[in-house]
Amino acid sequence: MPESALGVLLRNLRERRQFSYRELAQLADLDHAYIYRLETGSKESPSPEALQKLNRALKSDKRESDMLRFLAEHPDTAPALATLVVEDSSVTYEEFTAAAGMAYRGTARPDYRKLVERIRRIAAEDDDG
Amino acid sequence: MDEFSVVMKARELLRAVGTTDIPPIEAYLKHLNAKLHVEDDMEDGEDGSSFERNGRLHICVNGNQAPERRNFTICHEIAHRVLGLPSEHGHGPAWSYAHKSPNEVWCDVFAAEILLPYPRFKPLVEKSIIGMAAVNTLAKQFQASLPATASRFATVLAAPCAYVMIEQGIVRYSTRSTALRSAGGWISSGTAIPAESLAAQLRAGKAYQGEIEIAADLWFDDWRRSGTLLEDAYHNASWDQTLSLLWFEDEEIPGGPRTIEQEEEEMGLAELDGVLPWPGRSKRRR
Repeated sequence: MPESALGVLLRNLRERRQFSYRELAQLADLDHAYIYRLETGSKESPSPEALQKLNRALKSDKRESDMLRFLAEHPDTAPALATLVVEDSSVTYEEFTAAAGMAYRGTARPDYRKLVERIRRIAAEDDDG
Repeated sequence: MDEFSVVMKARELLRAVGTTDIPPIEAYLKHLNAKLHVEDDMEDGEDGSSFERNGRLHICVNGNQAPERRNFTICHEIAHRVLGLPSEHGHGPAWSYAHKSPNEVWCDVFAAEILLPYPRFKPLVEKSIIGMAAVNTLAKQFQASLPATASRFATVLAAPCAYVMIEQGIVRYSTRSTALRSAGGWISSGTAIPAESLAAQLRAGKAYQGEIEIAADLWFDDWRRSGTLLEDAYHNASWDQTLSLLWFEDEEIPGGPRTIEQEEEEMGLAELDGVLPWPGRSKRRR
């Protein structure tokens, strides 16, 4: 099971393209073991060059490549948030980064779907002035 | 990050805002261009959260919680922004203050500093008669929770004093005045409270009859000074949460630890008299 948010998103993108580790490694000109380690969270924060190679090989769209770059720079992001953005393509990059950077206080955490809904409502109120 | 730099950052904000309002929440929000959202659909244990959008800080607080608790949460979220510290959770049990991540502890320190500003709070504390009644009065005045006010009360007081937060009869955390810290008064988190304490009596259902006297070594770990503490406490039976305030009757630390010489004088070897203690007298006669 991937243990990092970057791993969750990377695995989803690879599986959606139906690539094996070796196929993606060949296309991206990276070591297949390195890609496996990124997906399982034992390696994090890939270099911008490695990310660029992965994005090109995976044909990531702007939202996906922005999210991968963000996750490479923010390895503490919760894997549950990456699961949400994988399952719900309506979550924008802006909503994703606001949820990822959210500070909390208390012993309970809302689920990320609820957080994103809260962010959307507040953003709409904010835009309406 | 350390406590001193956190306090200095909080006082910088106080100076920049320059308000004399109590509580100064509105002034902080305005200064930081932050917007407050009181949410009614938050979970029981969810105190609040904050995020930035287009450079503006949005703070959400739990509308089902008391306004005093919400005030502390707002200040805690402001701390995340001002100190530039991200949230760090999941490093230990949620109830454990001792296992709280450093970022959360620093944000609590900052929050206490701006919710109960030292220049306004300290003179009122020093004028008070020490006890939970004074804490209660100040909490109402500053619209802060009892635990936050009691903790700050013990911390800023010049006299030796400690505040203990107790849950289910177990010390969750304690704070101490500088004088008590210097004297080595320490209460371990995670330990059971003394059975003789007022906190324990109130938990057991005994009616509150005012502060009590209790030996200092019952509360403090490895306390080698003598002395009797005064203890006042407040018990919330529905949450099984007890707040205890401890201080010395004459507001001074009792005499220092016994020196080696004093210990030897009291408990040391008998003075030499020229007679060997071994072998026994009966053997020597033979």
